[in-house]
Amino acid sequence: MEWLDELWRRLLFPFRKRQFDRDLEEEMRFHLEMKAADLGAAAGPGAAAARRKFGNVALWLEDSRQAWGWAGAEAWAADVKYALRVLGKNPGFTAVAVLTMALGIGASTAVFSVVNAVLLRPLPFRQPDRLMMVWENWQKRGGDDRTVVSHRNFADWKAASRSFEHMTVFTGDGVRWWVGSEPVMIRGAQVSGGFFQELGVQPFLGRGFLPDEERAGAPRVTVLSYGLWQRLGGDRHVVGRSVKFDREVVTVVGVMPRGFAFPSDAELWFPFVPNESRREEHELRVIARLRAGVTVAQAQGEMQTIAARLQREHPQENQGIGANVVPLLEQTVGERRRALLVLLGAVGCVLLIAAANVANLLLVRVTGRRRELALRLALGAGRWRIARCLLTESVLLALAAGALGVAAAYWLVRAFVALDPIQLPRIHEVALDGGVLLCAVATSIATGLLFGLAPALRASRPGLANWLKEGPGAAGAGEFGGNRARSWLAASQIALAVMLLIGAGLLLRSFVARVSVPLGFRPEGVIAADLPNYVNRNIGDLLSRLRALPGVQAAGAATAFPLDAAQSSCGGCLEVEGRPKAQGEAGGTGYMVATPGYFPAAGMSLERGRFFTTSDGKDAPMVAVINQALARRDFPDRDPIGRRVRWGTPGWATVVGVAANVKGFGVPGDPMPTIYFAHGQASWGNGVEVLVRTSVPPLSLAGAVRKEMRAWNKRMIIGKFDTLDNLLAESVVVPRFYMLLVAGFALLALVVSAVGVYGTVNYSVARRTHEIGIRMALGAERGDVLAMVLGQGLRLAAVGVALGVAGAWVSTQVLETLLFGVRPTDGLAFACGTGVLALAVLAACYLPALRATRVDPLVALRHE
Amino acid sequence: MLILKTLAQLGPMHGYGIAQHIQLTSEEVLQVEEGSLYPALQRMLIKGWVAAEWGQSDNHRRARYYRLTAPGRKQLSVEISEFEKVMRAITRVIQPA
Repeated sequence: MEWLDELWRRLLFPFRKRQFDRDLEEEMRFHLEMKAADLGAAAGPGAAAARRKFGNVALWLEDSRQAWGWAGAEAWAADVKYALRVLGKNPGFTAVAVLTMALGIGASTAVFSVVNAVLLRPLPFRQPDRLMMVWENWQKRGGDDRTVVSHRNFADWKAASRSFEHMTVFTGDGVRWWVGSEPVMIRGAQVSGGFFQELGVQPFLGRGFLPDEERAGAPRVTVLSYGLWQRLGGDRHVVGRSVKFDREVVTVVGVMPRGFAFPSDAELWFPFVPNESRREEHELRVIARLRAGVTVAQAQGEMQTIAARLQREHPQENQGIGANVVPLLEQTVGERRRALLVLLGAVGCVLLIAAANVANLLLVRVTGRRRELALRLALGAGRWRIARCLLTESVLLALAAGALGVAAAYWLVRAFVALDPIQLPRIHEVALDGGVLLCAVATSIATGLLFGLAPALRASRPGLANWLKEGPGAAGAGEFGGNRARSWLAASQIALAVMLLIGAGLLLRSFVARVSVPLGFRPEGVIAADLPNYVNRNIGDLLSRLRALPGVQAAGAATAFPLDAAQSSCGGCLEVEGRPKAQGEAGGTGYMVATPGYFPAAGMSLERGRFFTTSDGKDAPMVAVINQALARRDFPDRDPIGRRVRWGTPGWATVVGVAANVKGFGVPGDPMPTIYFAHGQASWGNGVEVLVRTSVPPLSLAGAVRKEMRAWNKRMIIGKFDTLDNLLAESVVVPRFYMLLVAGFALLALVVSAVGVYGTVNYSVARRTHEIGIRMALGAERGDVLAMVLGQGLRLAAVGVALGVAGAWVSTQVLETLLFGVRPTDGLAFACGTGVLALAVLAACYLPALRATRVDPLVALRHE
Repeated sequence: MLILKTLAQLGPMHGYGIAQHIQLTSEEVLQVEEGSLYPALQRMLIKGWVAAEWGQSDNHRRARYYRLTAPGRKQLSVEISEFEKVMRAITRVIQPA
């Protein structure tokens, strides 16, 4: 109960404070007067002696008050009030400091909220860290290969493994849906029994699938996502009703809760109906829940043993096939992890630079306020109290900046989620939630303390009282300590900025290298459309209709766009007449089928021989075109034209042409050796990718092309439909985004640190006006003064650049996997980064240096 | 402890009197800033070891008199015995063997 009394007392104290102070003061006055009377005359020396003996009246008053009331809180309140007043009196300084920090805090909060949602927050399933994806591992493709699983293998895995509580499969599926007269695909997934239970998510309405529904021939049932349910009307009694998708009628048995999306693009789920598939048909994804106490490594070990046994039992089908257990989070986030962490690092640098800048500003100010501070020290303020006062100011600044920054981050994040420029996984979970806010506040306070620390330490240093004695102009050598602190701050800003500039330079070089690979085809002026596989049989019909459109130069189709690698490939399928079949990865060859119009439509160039013609039809002798990479590999010393090859068929095809290599951005060296077979002579296999080369701007023909396609086939779903240029740009949108972002951060860092250097040098020139005046009076030339000031800036730059280059040397290693065609220690990037920074520093020093040369010695000396 | 003891010896006394008494009886060995007496007195007031009321001083001026309360007396005896314990210990240590 004692603390209650205390609380009561402290709460009441403010109301009694007046009386208390009056009493205490009277009491002390009484004491002093008695003492003085005892010591001698009431006025004069007696009173002074009494005072000396008594000590600091104000301090004792304060001390007594503290025993009663909220002295701590009151002092804080006073500090805050005082700090607000000081900040309000210097709106320019306050605005600059708050804006600088808001920039840093806003940018880092925005990046952190993305990192938090994508990398840190657990997936929205029950015990998500126990969920694993299990893949086949095709050893010839490397240790981390993740290949879809055949149903036979899955069944054997499931029967044999002990590491998992559950193991289920899913595979993509979809239904046709009409938006007006345009058919679109609603993506979904087929899932095997216990899928929803395994993820630990219950349907929001209805139920999951029953074992009975997983038989062949069972009536078709579905579970809807929340979003699709809403689009279908959001009827709460939907369960048990049937829904018609195009020609398909399915019965709804359940609706999943809002936000459930797994696999990420699925909007509805069907039961997976196993069929008697062959072991070679790899088409399933496997998700499994680890048993309690089993580690990922243990599970991996067990799966590898099982896979090895299956290899022995099925040497034909399972040769070289292991298993790969991958935690679901890792699978979901994938290679974005490193890029996001790099961004976080970059934005952290920006934050530190901003903090250093504000620390510098505060240091300058504290030097300007030293007389005031000294006065307060002399009046009995404790050093801790002074330091606390300054820290309060800087934390207030940081909190204001934090509020502004969080507001900015809120809009940034909303825009980012809405645009989703890089198709980030889990993008819809990105939000400024409590955790992020907490983090932003913590960052604000931490940076506030960080950048307030230097000035606070400095102000509370003993010997400050000397400041009181100094005149306003008597500065110079005594200020060395302060200058040094500021110089170090400026140098570390420069170092961080150099690191960012070098990183941005590397990403820029890498991007340029990525997009300047020779493509081998001409993407400009081409419309590209992705059509479903089943239209391939009479695609010639559509192509001639397209060719009849005015403005169309050429139209063709193939199994892949020229910027993508062949969509199917095989090691050991290609056979060259008169030579044993090459086996394994070394013989890996891409398989394409193309119509005659494909080559001119893509703008591919011919190295030797000819492309296909309309006479290479169904009944003509089989022909093939190979790319240069294949010619180099399989016919290194002989002309391939006229040689005969085959791909699992009884008859041979004659090579009639060698096409130039084509590849998309970011493919180093030669593309995959690839063979093209003529449409009508080989089985198609993949989607139908149509190219239409136009003699007019392609977008002006896009409507007509699309209309023609629609007129030809009302029901087919047109996937991608864009210019080839845009598809190419899309393929590098992710590296471009990272490059632009890091470059933006680097630019920000450059500007902020240049301002920091400017401030430091400018201030030092202002303080040294007197000294410069003397130098000039003694005969120093303007050039000498200029050199002196620039030299000071360059010394800063030299230290900063040295530190920054060393830091970059170490830290750019993490960029390695993000870089294309550039080593992380690329000399040009390092040289440019430091060069740009040196220029910025010179520019920042030039103005103050110029001002220094204009110092009039007479004025400077009279300034005293 | 010194303040409590002074009050125990003198009965109700004002701050100045307490300070004078301590100084005189300790033969000016204990020199502290006299002002520090007041925060200490306030803390004792809170703890209830002393009570205060305004009264007339010897030279007819208003002064705040402090007097020892029962808890204060108890506290004094506790502190004295603590102190003696420490003193005894120190004496034993510094006594030549």
